[in-house]
Amino acid sequence: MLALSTGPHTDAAPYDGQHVLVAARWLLIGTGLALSFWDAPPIGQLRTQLSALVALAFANFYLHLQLMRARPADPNVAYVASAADLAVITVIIAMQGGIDSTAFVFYFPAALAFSVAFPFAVSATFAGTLLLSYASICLDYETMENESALIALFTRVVMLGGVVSCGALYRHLEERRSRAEVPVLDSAN
Amino acid sequence: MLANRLVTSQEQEAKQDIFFGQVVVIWARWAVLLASMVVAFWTSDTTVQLGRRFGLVSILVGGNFLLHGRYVTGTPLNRHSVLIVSGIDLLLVTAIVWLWPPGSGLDSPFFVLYYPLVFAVALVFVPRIGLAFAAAALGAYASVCAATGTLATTMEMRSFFMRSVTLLAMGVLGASYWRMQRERHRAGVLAGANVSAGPDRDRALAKTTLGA
Repeated sequence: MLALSTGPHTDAAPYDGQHVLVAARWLLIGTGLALSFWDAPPIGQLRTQLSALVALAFANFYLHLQLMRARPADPNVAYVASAADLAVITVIIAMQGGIDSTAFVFYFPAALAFSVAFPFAVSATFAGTLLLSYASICLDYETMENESALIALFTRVVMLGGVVSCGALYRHLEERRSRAEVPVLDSAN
Repeated sequence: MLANRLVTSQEQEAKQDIFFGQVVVIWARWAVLLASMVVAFWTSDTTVQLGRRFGLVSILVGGNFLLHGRYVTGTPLNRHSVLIVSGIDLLLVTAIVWLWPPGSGLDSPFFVLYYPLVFAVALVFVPRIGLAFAAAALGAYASVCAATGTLATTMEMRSFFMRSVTLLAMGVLGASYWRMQRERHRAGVLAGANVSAGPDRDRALAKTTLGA
């Protein structure tokens, strides 16, 4: 099973981060279900979307149960689940015409979730794969000829990178604060 | 030797969050300003247009240089200043969504500039401020879309719904993660320090965390 190096001082997928992952995924699933029936696409596309969302829902339910039992999932399970989220969004974007698809906004909460949950090396790998996949789907001949589309693609890619950077940076800061000598609250007060 | 357990208030904790976390806001601003500058060069058709847009972005870039410089030298801004700066960013992005080509309102591709700003504020400030900022961003965006008449059709409403949900999600998820981190600290995961509370201790802590 895949197990990426995470460095000497960081948890592979810390407990707090997995809560954010699960919450972000419920958000994607709920919104995806609502949108599937709002101005529904052709029946074939609708079946594909719903099947993917239902599969994600079952997987997320399992992860949510593990967290409720205070047993965070194996990091590899979290990695696979996040990769599946991004794959589903990417497939939907590809089916909806690449750069013209409005579903790319779902990348933002997904990127937020893995940037705060995973170690930097893993986050960077996910971010790089995400950006390359999205750019390759969007960059066809028509897009290259369309300046507005290129501007939109550039802005989206930079902002996605910005979100991942902010999340990873904040995670790093919190880890350093945890290791530094800091005052704690006296629970009696 | 008994370790001294230091007592601090939630207000002090919030100040520490701003003290150490504002670098996240600074980097979010860098991302937005970088994209804005490139787009200013890319979309300007006349020297006057380029001059105005580049001038505006340059002022903000200069301001961010100052902020970043103050942070690395150990004298970052206080909470109110960071909030004011974030509010200015919100106004800038709203103006870009409204006025810069291509498109305006819902047709503008630059609404994505809100996302890192909302996320960064949600990570650094207490949840009520982070969520209020997210709501303000959404309100500003909705106002521009309504003012430009780009919320007329079902497809447009659908697009707006998706963007609203994901933009608010950045604030909610960021605030949730902030709250989890605070609860973890308060649960006594961290060991007490042996140094008495005070300015000397804060400076020592700043050095450790800022890596100076």
